[in-house]
Amino acid sequence: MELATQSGISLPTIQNIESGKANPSLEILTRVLNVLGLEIKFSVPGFQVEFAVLLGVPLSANQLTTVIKPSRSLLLSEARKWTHYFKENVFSDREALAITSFLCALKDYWPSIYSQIECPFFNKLISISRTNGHLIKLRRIAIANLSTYL
Amino acid sequence: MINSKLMKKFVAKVLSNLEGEWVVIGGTVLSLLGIDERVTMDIDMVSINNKQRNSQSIKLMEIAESLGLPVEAINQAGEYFLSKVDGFQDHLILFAESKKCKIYRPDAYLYLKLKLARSSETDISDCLTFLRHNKNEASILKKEIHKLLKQFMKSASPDKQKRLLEIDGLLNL
Repeated sequence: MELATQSGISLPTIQNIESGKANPSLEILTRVLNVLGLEIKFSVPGFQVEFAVLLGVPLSANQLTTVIKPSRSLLLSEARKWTHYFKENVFSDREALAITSFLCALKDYWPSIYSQIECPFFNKLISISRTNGHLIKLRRIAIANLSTYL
Repeated sequence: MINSKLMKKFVAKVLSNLEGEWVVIGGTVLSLLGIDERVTMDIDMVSINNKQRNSQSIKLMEIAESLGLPVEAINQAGEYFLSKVDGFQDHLILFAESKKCKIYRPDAYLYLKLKLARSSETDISDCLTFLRHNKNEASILKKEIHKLLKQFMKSASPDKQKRLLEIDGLLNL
């Protein structure tokens, strides 16, 4: 009752939210949470090494626990997140090199899929890293991994 | 990056510095044949019938380095895949030779056999380029290549099947 009064939301709506019957809008939810001293925050999830390894990025991870299969759509959605991680400096040097080699493999061997990522930043990254010997080696592993599902 | 100009220099150095028999495979074959439709990052060159394989491989890397390439550009993993092809020796074409060294390239059949196992978009486009530039060879080996395509079609994903059909289409022109 107090929550309803303080948030200005009707008691039946509050009751419906509590019982899981209502599907409140973000605005309603924010008003309820404000009264409780809480707030909603959105954030991009951290880099998931497990998914990257699953997709064929030449990195090592602990035993894979996911049951998801690598696919073109998973690749595209993960690769789009990597743009953000690069810009936010989320990756270690080793991770950055592995991801770059993977993108390089994709660009060179499956160009039509690579083009769907639509990221000029990656193009720049690949072009400045191409002569790196480690990248050349990692790229070969990435090509072999990608060819198992593309 | 490896293009036909660099490959020319590479071949000249190999002929004067190395011994034994070598096969160029993969995307590098296109550069070897003077085709620059795409550049590659590595040189797939493997040794056959070579007793001094290790020391020769080091020399090969030294040649790469002398041309400004990273030593990692030399890729010899193809030796494994080549060894898995029964009678691959029958599908080699002598490309260049010196007193001590011979360089071979695969014929159309062997080139496709090695490329189609992966069948990426670029592998298929390399095969198409190879066949367009070696029409006589493709025509002579047409029957064998058709058989090969059929074989790969069976286990290929729908995406790969689509790509393999492009080669079939070219052969039927």
